[in-house]
Order: sequence, then structure tokens, then C-alpha cells
Amino acid sequence: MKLPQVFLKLLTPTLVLGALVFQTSCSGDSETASNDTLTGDSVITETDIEDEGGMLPSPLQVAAIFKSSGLKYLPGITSSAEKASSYSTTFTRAWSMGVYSADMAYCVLNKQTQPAQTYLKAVRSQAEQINLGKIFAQTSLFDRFNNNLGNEDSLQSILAGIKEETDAQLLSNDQNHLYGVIFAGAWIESLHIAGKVYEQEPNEQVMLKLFEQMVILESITKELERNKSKDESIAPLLADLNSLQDVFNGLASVKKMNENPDLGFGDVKPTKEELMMLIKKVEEIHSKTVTKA
Amino acid sequence: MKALKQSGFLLLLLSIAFAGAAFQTAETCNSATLKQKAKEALNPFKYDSGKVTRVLYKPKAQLKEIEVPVFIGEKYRMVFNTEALSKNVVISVYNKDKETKNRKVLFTTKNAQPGKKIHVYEPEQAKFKFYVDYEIPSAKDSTATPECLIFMLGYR
Repeated sequence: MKLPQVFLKLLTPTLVLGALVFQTSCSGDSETASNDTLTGDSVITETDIEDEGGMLPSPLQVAAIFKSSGLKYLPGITSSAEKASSYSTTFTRAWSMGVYSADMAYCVLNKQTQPAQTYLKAVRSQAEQINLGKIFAQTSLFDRFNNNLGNEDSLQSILAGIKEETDAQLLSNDQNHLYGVIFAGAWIESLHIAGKVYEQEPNEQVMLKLFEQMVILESITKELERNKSKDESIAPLLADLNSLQDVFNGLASVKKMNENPDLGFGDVKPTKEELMMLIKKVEEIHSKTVTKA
Repeated sequence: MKALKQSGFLLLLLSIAFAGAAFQTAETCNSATLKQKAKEALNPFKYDSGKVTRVLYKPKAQLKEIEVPVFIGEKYRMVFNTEALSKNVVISVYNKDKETKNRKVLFTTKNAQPGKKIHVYEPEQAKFKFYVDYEIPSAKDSTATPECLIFMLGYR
């Protein structure tokens, strides 16, 4: 009787461990499978979009679009990197990681290497606080950045590498719910920067690019909507972004565009007053989130 | 007695291997090699965003759709690495989502050369959103091990 007991003592924990690990590894896909629904022509439509999600652009690309439209560098309009340590929740750290990514991109594209370095440190610090430290730990991105300060092309490649590693780590750590939060932080910061520069130096191209940025808003809110149950701070942000969408949809030029399916963003031109309404709303969201630490 | 001890040891090894295989499954869809190959095909475009889609074959065919927002007038390249798929998953890019009638197919791998694993598409004109559809074929038996499809979007 003793031998089977020894045998069981050895076998039971290992089988339980194996079964648990296997279940953990496959659970995400099983959930997706259970939520698929069948439509009329034997095509299955993916209704559980948690696994698929959407795609959101890189903060560097948003900054590059503004830069190519003539957006100038103005010191003092980016967020304070010194405040990085005051963010205390996963949400605010993820949000500020996005904010500092946008500030870093703005500085890199305008050859402001010293503040860019400061923002890189802030991005790394926020990443480490939310279990994304491997972005920098597994690669030499941080050192490469510091070794290429005079080379804008290299710095842009490194920023693209940071975005790629961030995407990979979010997936690997099962933290995809932060994907939309990080990007929303970067996006609002980019619009804040563009708005501030526009207020001081009105430029029609910047105005049009700011207006065009609104096309991304729906994708951001969809991404946040999918994940709002995973962090209670997502819902208030979502409400703020939905109110920005309402302001945008209420603009006369947007109504005109929506009433005519043949018209696209390139076919309508917002007035300065309309743009100022958007900027005002962006500032409202920006200041609210900045004080959220 | 000795035989029982050996059996116990064997089962212990099998269980550890079982647990190890499960970890391996989780890692398969995050393969750095697959991503690296996609990234090479993305060059000289800069990485913008990417998505790893886990594919499980089921008795019924599936359609998965990814919404890809883009900015007007920008140049993009889409790269798909299907190397890790055992079945022919058709990738198509549309101008509208799957709910829209008369949407236009902009790119498809339906008639792609057999064995081609890396698929590249450069849209002529960015129009705010693209919709990437994966048509996943049915399988007699559902698969337990997910395979993965890598999608990378680049810009310049």
C-alpha cells in the first residue's frame, strides 16, 4: 500500500501542474472560439474582438505627420518628465508612458536631443513600473539611442523599435488592455502640442492635419471600449474621448461631410473657430489627465 | 516495487514534458523569428504597428477581421507572414468592413503562388481605414494548438 501512495504523491501534483499550465496557455483562444457566431453563408463572424483588437499607429508617425505639415518646435509645451515618479497606478503610468513617447518623438523630430533623452528615461521608467521593462532590458534600445544622438534617422528607427517592442511585450505579458491607454496618452499629447503651436503660430496645414487626426479617434474609443472592464480608469477616459467625438461630429463641416457619402476628410475644410472648439476639448482632456497622478 | 517506481518516474517526466509543451504553445505565437522575417520585408518602411493573430482551426470556417486606421496621403506597406500556418488562410484587404455590401477587395492572397509565405501589399492611396480579413478554412477536428499569423504595418 505504501508504494501506490508514493506514486500518487509524485503523480498528482505534476499532473495538476501540467493541466493548469495547459489550460492557462490555451484559455485566451478558447474564449475566442466560444464567442464566434455563424452567419447565413457559413462564414463565421468574429464577435469576440478581445483577441483581435484593432491597430493603432505609432506616436512617431503622428509626430512625423505634424512635423511634415510645418509644425514648429516650441519649448515648454511638452509635459514635465519630472512628474514621472508621481504616477502611481498602472493606468496613469501607461497613460504617461504614451504622453512621454509623444514628447520624445516631438523632440527627436526637432533635433532636441537633450529633452529627448530626458523623455526616453521617463518612458523607460514608466515602462518598468508596469511590467514592460523588458522593452529596454532585452534590447540595446536605450544605449543605441544615447549613442546616436546626432543621427535623426537612427533615432527614428530606435523609436520605431521601442513601439515594436512595446507591442510585443503587451502581447507577451497579456497586457493588451494597456495598448489603447498608452496610445490615447500619446495621441492627446500630440494634439495638445499641435494645438499649442497652432495657437501661437496659425498654419493652415497644421490645422488640416489636426482635423484629420480625428479619424483615429473612433479606433481609439473602440480599443478602449473592448478593454474598459479590465481597468476602472478606462471608462472615464472613454467618456472624455466620446465627448471629443461629439464635439467633432457637431462641427458644421463634419456634418456636411457625413451627409454626403462622396465627401471625405480631404474634401472639407474646417474653419478656425471649429478647430478651436476641438483644441479646447483636447486641452480639457489633457489637463484632466495631467492632474490625475 | 522497482517497476512501480520506474513507472512513477516515467509519469513524472511525462507530466513535466506536458507542462513544458503547454508553455511552448504559449510562446509559439510570439516568435521573434517570424516577426523578424516580416520586419525584413517591411524595410525600408518604418514599423508602425503589428498584430499576431492566433489561429485555431474548427469544424466550421471562420472569418477574422482587423480594422487598420491610416492617415490620408501617407504611404504604407502591409506584410503578412503565414509561415507558421499549416492550412491556407486567405488574406484579403478591403476598403470597407465585412458588414458593408459591395465593398472592394484591394488585395488578396487567394491566387497567391503555392508555398509563398510572406505576402506584401502597398496600398496606392491611404483612405483612413483598411479592413484586413483572414478566411480560416474549416478542419474536420478542432485543433488544440494555436498557430499564428503575423501582420505588420509600416509607413514612410
